[in-house]
Amino acid sequence: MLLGELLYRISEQGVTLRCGDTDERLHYQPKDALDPDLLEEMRVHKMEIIQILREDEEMLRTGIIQSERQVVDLAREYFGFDDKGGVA
Amino acid sequence: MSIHDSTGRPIDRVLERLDNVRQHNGYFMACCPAHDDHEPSLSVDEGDDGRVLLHCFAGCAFENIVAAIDLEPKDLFVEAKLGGGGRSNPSKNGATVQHPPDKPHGDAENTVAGADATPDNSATPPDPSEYPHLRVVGGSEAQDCTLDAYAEYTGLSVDFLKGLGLKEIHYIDQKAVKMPYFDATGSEEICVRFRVSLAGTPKVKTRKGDKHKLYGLWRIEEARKAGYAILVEGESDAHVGWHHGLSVIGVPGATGFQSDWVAELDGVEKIYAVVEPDEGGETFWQRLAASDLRERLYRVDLDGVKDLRDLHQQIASGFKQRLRDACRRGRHWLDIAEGEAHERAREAWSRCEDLARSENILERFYETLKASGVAGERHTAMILYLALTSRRLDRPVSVAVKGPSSGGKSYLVERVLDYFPQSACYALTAMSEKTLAYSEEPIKHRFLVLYEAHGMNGDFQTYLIRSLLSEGRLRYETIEKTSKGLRPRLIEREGPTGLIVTTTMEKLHPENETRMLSLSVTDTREQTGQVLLALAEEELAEPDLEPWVALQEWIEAGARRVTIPFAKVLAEKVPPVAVRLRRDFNAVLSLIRASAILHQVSRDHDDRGRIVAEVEDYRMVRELVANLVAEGVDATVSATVRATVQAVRKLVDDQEGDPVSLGPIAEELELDKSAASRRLRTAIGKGFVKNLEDRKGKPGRYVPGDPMPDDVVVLPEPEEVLQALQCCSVVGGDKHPPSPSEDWGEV
Repeated sequence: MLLGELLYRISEQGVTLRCGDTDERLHYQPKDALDPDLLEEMRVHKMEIIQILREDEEMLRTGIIQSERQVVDLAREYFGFDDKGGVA
Repeated sequence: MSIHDSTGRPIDRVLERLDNVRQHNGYFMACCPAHDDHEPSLSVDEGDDGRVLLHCFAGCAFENIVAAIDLEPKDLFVEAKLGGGGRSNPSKNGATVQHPPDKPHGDAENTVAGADATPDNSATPPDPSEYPHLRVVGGSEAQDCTLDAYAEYTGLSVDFLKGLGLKEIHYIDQKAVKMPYFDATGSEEICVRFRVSLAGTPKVKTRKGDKHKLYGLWRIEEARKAGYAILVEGESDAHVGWHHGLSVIGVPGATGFQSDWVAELDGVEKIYAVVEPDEGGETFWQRLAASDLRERLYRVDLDGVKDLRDLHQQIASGFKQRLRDACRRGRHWLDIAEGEAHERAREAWSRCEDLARSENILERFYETLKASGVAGERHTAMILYLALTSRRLDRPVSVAVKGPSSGGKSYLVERVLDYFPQSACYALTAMSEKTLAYSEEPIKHRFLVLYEAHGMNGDFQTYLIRSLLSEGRLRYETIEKTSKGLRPRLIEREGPTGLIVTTTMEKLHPENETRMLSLSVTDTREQTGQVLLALAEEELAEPDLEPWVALQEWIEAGARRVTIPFAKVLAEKVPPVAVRLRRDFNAVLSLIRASAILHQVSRDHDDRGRIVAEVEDYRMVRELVANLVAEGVDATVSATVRATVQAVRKLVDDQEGDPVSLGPIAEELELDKSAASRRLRTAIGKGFVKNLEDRKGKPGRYVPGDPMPDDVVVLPEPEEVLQALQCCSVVGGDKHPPSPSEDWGEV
């Protein structure tokens, strides 16, 4: 599963993700909201998810864009693009 | 251009060169060519001997008027009229107008009125008392600057110089070289400077009314193509550079560079600044380095040689190679700035080490301030100190110090500023309409200090300051007169910039008010007593400010990025009671960062080089601003307002419900009437007191108003933050895992 799709499905389940600043643990809530497949995918993409969380946190804190992905996300939000790049 | 040999009356020569000429009773009025004149202010008349009498009612000098119409003084005289009256001081309309006689130049054609006309280069100087306009340089009269002499001085040929548009003219009563500045197309003369002396002072003068420009604008396109421009001080070095086929641009004077000229050099990849080995050279460099040119600016030192002219005189044949080598060795601005910053930091550290290692610098600051005679105002002084330290941040904390007239606001601010280097702030005492927009003072990472902020009443200043406070920079669009008519001009001054204002107003413009922390100086009798005692104290310790100033210099050169690991915890614990809290919360975070910067020696640094703020920083800040923040969002009522409302209530109750006047309230509060009145206005503004008297000029009749709210704690106790940090985690931000009691899973 692609990372974007995974994050989309996680958010659809109403799950909140958290990570530590220095350790490499990824926490989610509610504990029983994720099915085993999604949980497994999360394990596969754990480090990438942690990186994204940290980047987003840093951007929120400093107002400075941290990655290309955030540029795309911001552009999507601004122009109202859908996932395929068209205007929603 | 001399037209002395042309026919016709001198007055006709003058009038045909003037605009908007109108004839009056026996004389003419015209627009003065030496200043931007729209209504004729130049009087033109003919003397008995045929000479032209000029007088500008705006005050332009005779020589500038003549130069502006491209004439020479002798053109204003009747050529053939020799002998008599040439040096009189004719008066026009009550004003003395000095008409210099023509200087003789060795032949009959060029001699003019005056019984004692002498040949050129005469050993007999004219009597200065007869020539008040004659500039005396170093005790001797001004010397001619001829084109030949200038050619010899620069080592260039007269023909080459003429090809650049230079020509010899009469300037007042001497010869000078006229140097026209052309626009980028090379066709329009946009400024004229005169080389009036080769060695005296001044060497160069500018035509009155002209604005300085870069010299060589018509060569900038060439520089863009070449990928470089060499900036030099003055015109003569530019002439030498052009002679050697180099892309040289002249700056009129060591202090002459103006920040808005940067746009002229857009598209030029590298800018080499030739820095002369003297004080002027350093000033020249500093001005360039302070401008937006710096990213592409290289410093070029010509080892053992003063400037391009000297280099040309010494080694004309190897000139180009030597200059190219010097440019290649040129050091980029950033390297120099980093080296200088490092050196400054090292030197400052040696003077502030002990202080920088203190565990509570803020407290030490207040103790030193108090010992030097500043009475009370602990919180206000410490907040000011922290706010000024926050200038290093992207969002400095701006402060309004409010209080009654003579309440000591400005004195307190000045004393706190003593603990900072000059680079920390820029004080404006009487801000003129456009001072802030047009000043060349850098304002980045600096504080503007505005004493008695009556200037902020005006819409213009309010707008400028709001743009500084909200956007972090100043943008101002204006219309400017140029040689091509009125043109829009955008002035941009880069921030971030903090602001400290002192004011007697209870409220500033709402948009500015919400962007600043409002501090009030103490207005009690007790405070007045302390101030008087402090003033009477003869044994006051003179504070040793050197380590304090050094500490701030060291901070300026060091790290300014701070991370607050508990920021999210703090945010979660602050009740969202008002929109304004968003801004105040940012101010709190900035003050925490400022405290961490101040105490950085005893703080950790993370692997990205950021200073890690501690809860201890929050503790210090909270003690100073908790009440301010709560009052700002109306979550609490300040102690002074609460006491005022209680006094009103008590007095009204004592009078069985009758309204009470100001006098008894002041008495009850043990304040003078003006201080009590200020407090009452604040309480009325918040609705806690009402004035039943609505007729102007009548004494107030005060009664209690709305009930005061229960206090809400806006900023949590530091212990709460510590506790939260120990037991839970924050999104992406902290070192601790979530509390086991929460419903969290872990991958």
